Amino acid sequence: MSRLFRRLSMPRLLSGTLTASAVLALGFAGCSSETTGAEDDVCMSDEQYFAEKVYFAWMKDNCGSCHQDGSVGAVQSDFDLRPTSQGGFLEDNLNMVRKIAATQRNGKSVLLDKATGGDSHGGGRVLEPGSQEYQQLESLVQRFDEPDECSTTQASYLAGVELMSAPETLRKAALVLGARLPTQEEQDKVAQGGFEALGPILDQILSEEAFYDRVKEVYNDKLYTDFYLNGEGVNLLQDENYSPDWHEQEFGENGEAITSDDIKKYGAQSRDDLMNKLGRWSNEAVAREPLELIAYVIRNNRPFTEVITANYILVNPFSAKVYNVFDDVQFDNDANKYEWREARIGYGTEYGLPHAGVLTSPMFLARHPTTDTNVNRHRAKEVLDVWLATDMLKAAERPIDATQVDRKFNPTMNDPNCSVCHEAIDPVAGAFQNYQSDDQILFNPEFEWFQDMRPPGFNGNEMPYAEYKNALQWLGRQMANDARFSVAATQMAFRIAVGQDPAVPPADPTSPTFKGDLDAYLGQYYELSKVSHRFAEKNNYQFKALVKDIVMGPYFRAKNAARNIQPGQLARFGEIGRSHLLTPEQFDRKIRNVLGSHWWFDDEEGDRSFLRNDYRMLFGGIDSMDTTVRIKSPNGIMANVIERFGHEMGCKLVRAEFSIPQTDRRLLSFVEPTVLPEDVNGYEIPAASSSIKQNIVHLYERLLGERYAENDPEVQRAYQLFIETWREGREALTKETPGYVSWMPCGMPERNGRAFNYVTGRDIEIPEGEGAESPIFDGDPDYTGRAWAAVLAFIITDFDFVYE
Amino acid sequence: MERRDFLKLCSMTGLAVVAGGTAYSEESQAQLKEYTGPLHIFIHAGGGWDVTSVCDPKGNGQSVATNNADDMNHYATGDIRQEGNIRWAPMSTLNAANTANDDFFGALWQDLLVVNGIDMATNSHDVGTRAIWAGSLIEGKPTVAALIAAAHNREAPMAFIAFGGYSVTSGEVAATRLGGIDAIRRLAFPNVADTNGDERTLYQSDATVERMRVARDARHEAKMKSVLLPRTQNSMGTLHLARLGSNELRLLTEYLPDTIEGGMVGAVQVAIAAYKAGICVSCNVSSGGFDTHGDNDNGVGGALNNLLGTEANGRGALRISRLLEENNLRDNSVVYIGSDFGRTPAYNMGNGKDHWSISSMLMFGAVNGKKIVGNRVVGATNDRHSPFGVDPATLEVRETGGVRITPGHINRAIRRMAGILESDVSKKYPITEPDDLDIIQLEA
Repeated sequence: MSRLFRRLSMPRLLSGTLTASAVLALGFAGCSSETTGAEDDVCMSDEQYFAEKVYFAWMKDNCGSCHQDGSVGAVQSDFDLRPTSQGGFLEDNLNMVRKIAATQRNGKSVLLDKATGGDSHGGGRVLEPGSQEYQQLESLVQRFDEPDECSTTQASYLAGVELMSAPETLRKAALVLGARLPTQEEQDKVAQGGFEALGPILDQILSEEAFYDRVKEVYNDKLYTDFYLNGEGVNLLQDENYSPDWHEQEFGENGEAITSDDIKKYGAQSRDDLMNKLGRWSNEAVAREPLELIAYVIRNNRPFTEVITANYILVNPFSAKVYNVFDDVQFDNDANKYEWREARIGYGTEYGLPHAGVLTSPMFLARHPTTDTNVNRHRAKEVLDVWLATDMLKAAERPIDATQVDRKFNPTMNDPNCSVCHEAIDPVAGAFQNYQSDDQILFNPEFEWFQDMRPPGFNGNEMPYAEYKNALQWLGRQMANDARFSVAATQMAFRIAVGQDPAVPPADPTSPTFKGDLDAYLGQYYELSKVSHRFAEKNNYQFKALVKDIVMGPYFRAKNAARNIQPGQLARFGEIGRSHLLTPEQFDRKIRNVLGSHWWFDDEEGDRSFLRNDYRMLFGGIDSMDTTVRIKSPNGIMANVIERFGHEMGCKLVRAEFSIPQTDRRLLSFVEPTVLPEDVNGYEIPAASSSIKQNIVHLYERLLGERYAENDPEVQRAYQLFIETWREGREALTKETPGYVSWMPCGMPERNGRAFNYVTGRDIEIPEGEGAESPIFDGDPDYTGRAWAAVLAFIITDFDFVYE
Repeated sequence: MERRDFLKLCSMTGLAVVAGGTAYSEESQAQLKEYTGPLHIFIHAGGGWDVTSVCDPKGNGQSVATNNADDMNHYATGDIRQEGNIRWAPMSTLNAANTANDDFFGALWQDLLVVNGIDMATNSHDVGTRAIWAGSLIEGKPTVAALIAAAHNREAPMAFIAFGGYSVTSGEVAATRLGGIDAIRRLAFPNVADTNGDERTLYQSDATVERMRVARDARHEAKMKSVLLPRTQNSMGTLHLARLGSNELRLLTEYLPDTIEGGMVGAVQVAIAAYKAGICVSCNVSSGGFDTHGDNDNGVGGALNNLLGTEANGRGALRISRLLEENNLRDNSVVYIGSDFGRTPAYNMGNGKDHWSISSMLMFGAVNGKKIVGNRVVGATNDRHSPFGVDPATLEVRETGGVRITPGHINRAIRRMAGILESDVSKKYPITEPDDLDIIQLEA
C-alpha cells in the first residue's frame, strides 16, 4: 500500500523556509539551507491517517456519541474513545482503535463488523459497506497489520512557513521571555555561532526574573490565586496553628515595640510604615505561595512534577511567621521577602500536613472552594484542567436529555448522561476528602468519603485505603505519572512563549474551512505532542528545556509564509504567526526594560504603573475573581491606551534623552535638540538631515528590530513626520499661534523628586549660580523636541512594538 | 459608505475628522448616528438558576409551605403569584427579605415575554452559558450580543461592552471592558496632557496627530502586502480597525453621568452613555449566586434580589428598566435575562438543588418604538419540570410530541428581531435547528 500522499506543490523554496523534507531533516533546529525541489511527497503515518481520514472525518461524530468516556457504548463495551478536550486524545484513541481492530470474530475485525451493524452492535449499522468511510476504516485496519513505514510529522502541515534566523530568534526570545533587548555581547555571539550559540543565552534569559514573572502570570490565568493579593489571603488562615497577625503579636498592635533598628532592618520609613509593610508582605507571601512554588521548582531545575508532589510548602521570612514555622527554617536574611525556603506546616501539631505541592496549597484550596453537595468536584475539575490538560466541562458538549435522567438511581453513578463527566471527576474529588467545606483549607485526616459516590481514585484505579490520610499525595503521584501531565505542561509553556492558547480542533466536517482548519490544528497538535514527549522522556521534566524546545520550534519562530505559496494553502497556517497582543503586565515590563523608564503616575499611594492599575482591566487584564478571561483583541479603548502611552512616553523620553550626555543615550544618540534639518531659508542642511535619518534608522533597529537604509521608504516616512512637525511648530512659535508652547508638555524621570540620568542611575547635577545653564531639557524653542516625540510615539505604538 | 472608507476619504481630502478643542464632534457625530436600532442588554444569571423559583413556579402541591426533599419547591402552590398571563414564584413567603420576584414581575408583567421549558441539553456551566447566548453547544461560537454589534456597527469603539456572562466574539467585533471615569476621560483624549486641568495643553498638534495617522496607515498598508501569514494579518487588521474608531471615544464623555452605580447597573449606565454617543450596540452583564447546590431557597432568593432587583435595593433589571426610562430608551432597547441551565426538580440532602438542563428566559423592550408583545408566555413544563413540546406554527403547548424549544430557536428569534438574521456575519454561524419558531413578536 502506498503511504505517500501529495500535499504541496512548491516549485521553488526560499532560504529559511520550511519544506517538508527540510523539516524532517533539520527538526526545526536550524533551517537556513536553501532547497529547491519539485513536489513534496510526504509519507503519512498511521497516526496521521487515523486523524485525517478516520477520526476527524467521521469517527468522532459517528462513534463518539456513544463510545466516549462514560457513555452507554463505552460502559457496555471495551470501545472507549477520549474526547478532544483531553490532552493526548489522538494517541489514546488510535491505541484504542488499534486494540479493538485486532480482535477478530469469524476471521473479521470486530471493528469492521460492528461498524456495519454486525456482531449485535448496539448502535446498529453506522457505516454502509463499500462506502468511502468504510473503505477508510478498512485501510486503517490493514495498516495495523503492517509496520508503520512513516513517522508522524508536522512537516506537511508547516511546509512553506518562513522561520526567523538565529539573531531574530534571540531578539524575540529576549523580549518575550526576558522582557528586554539582547545585549551586544549576546548579539555578537549569535551572529557568529548561530543557533548553537543561542542555547546558552536562552539558559541565561530563562534564569531572569522577567521569565519567572511571566510563568507566574500564565499559571495565575488558570489558578486565579492572585485574587488574594487584595489583602484577604492571610485572613483565611484563622486556624489556631497559624499567626496571621504575627507582627502585631511581636511588635504590639500599633508597633509600640518597634525599635529604630527594626525600621532600618526592613527598610521602612517609620513605625506605621513598617507595620504596614509587614502586614502587606505577609499577605503577599501567603497569597503568592502556589505561584512561587511553580517558579521555585523551575528556578532550581527540579523535575516539574514536583509542583504537584512537593512534600513542602514554600515560605519566605514573613509567611514563615504566619505559618509558625520560622524557627524551623534557616533564612540568610530574614528581612528579604524574595528569599523562599521549603517548610512543612502542621508538624508538631495533632495533624502533620502531608503536602502535595499546589494541590495542598491553602490558597489554591480557598480560591476553589467546595460545598456539602459539590463535594470537591470543582477542585477536581480544576486540577484535571490545569495539570492534565483535560477540560471536563467540554466533555459535556454533547447534548443530554434531562427527561431521560432517572434521579432515583443516583444519576451521577448510573446515568450515562451524567457519568460521562462524573466517572472521571468524582474519584479525583475523593482525593480531596481531607479538605471539606466547613473550613476549606483545614486538613483533617479523619474525614470519611461518601458511600454513595465513586471511591477516591484516579483514572480507573482506586486509591488504596492506607493512602486515605495522605490522599492528595497519592493523587499527585498518580497525576505526575500520567502522560497528560507533560501535555498540560507543554500547553502552558506554549502559552508562556508563544502567547496563544493551544488550538482546538474544528468541530464541523461540513464547514468549507474544515480541511484548512484541521491541517492547522494537526500541525500544532503533532508539534506539541513531540515536544511533550521530549519533555517527559528525554529532558526529565525540566521546564526550562521545555520552553527552549518551543522557542526553537516553528510556532515561536514563524515570521512569514513563502512568497510563492498558493493562497489556498494559507488556510493551514491559521494557527501560526505573530498574533499576541502584550498583556498589561508584559507591556509594562517591556516599557520599563526596553525604553528604560516607567509609564506610571504619582498619587497619594506613591508611584503606580498605569498598566497595572488604572488601565489594567481596560487593557484586557483580569482581576482573578470576577474577570478571569483576558481580552486578546484590541478594541477602541485599548487602542487609545496605546495612543496615550505613545504621546506620554514619547515626550518624556525625549526630555530624558536630551537631558543626559549623548554618549549615555539609548534612543537619540545621533542628534541634539539644536540639530535642525533646514536653515532659516528653508534649505536642507545635509549633515543635519543625515544625522536625523541616521537616528531614525537607529530607532527602528533598536525598538522594532528592523534594519533599513537611510533612503528606505520606512525611514523617509518617519523623516517626513519629523520635518513636517518641526516646520509646523517652528512657524507657529514664530507667529505666536495660540495653542503652541515653547516647552515640553510633560515630566521627565525623577527619583525622590530629583531628575536623574535614567540610563546610569546617577543624579543630574544642576549647576547653581546666576547664568548657570541647566542640562535639563525643558524648553523646546526650536520644536525639535516635539518633532522627535512624534517620531518616537509613531514607532513605540506600532504593531511590532505592542505585539509579540 | 463604511466608516473606514469615510475616514480614508477624509484623510485624502485633508478634512480633519477629529479637530481639536470643542469642534471635534460634528462630522464624526453625524457618522456615528448611523446605528438607530435598539440597545441590546444581555443579563446572565450566573451558576444556573432555579427557574421554578422565578418564572416557571410549581410549588409543593400544598396550601402551606413545607420542607420535604421531594418537593418541587418549598413554597405553597397556592401562594404562586400571577398578573395577567405571567406567573411567578412567591419567594417572599419563604423569606420576607426576598421580594425581587414580587417587585420585578409586579412592575413589569405587562412588558414581559417569558419563555419556559427551554431544553438546554447540558448540565455544564460553561456549555450552558455558551448555549443560551450563542445558540449552540459547540465551543467557540460567538455570543449573540457580539453578532448584533458586529452586524450593525462593527467599527464603533465600544460596539460590544463585555461585563460578564458569555463574551466570546470569535473575532467578529472587539469586546470592551470598563474602567473608572477619570481613566476613560484620559483615554478619550489621549493627546491632552492634563485632562483635569483648565488648560488643555496638547502633546502634539492636531495636524501632527493626523500626520502620525497617515504615516501609520502607509506603514500598515506596506506591511500587509509583505506579511502573508493569515494569523498575523488578522492581528494587524484588528489593531488597525480598533484605531479607526478610537477618536470617537471622546463622545462618550459627553454622556457619562456624574456618578456610576455599582455592579451591573453601573456597566449598563456606561453602555447607555456609549449608546447615546453612537458608539455602542450591545452589552453583556452578569449577576451570580445561582449555583445553589446548598440551601437553594435562600440562595436563589438572595441572588434574585441582585439580578432582578427590589424596590428597596435599587439594583438589577428593575433598576435597569428605570434607567432606560430616565434616558428615554424604553422604546428602543431590549433586555434579555437567561442562565446556564435550571435546577433539579427536588432538593438534595443539603436543601440545595443540583444541575438540571431545563431553563427559562425573560425579555422585555422595544425595537424602534415597536414593543415586544408582553404579558406573554411561550413554552411550558410539566409538574416535575420536564418540557412540553410546542406546535412549530402556533407555539401552542402539546401534551405529547411537538418541538422542544432550544437555545437555537431563541437565538434565531433574537437575531431576526435585531435585524441581523440575513447578515453575512450571522450566516457565518448558522442556527442548526430546523424549525423556525415565532418566539418574539413585536406589536404592530
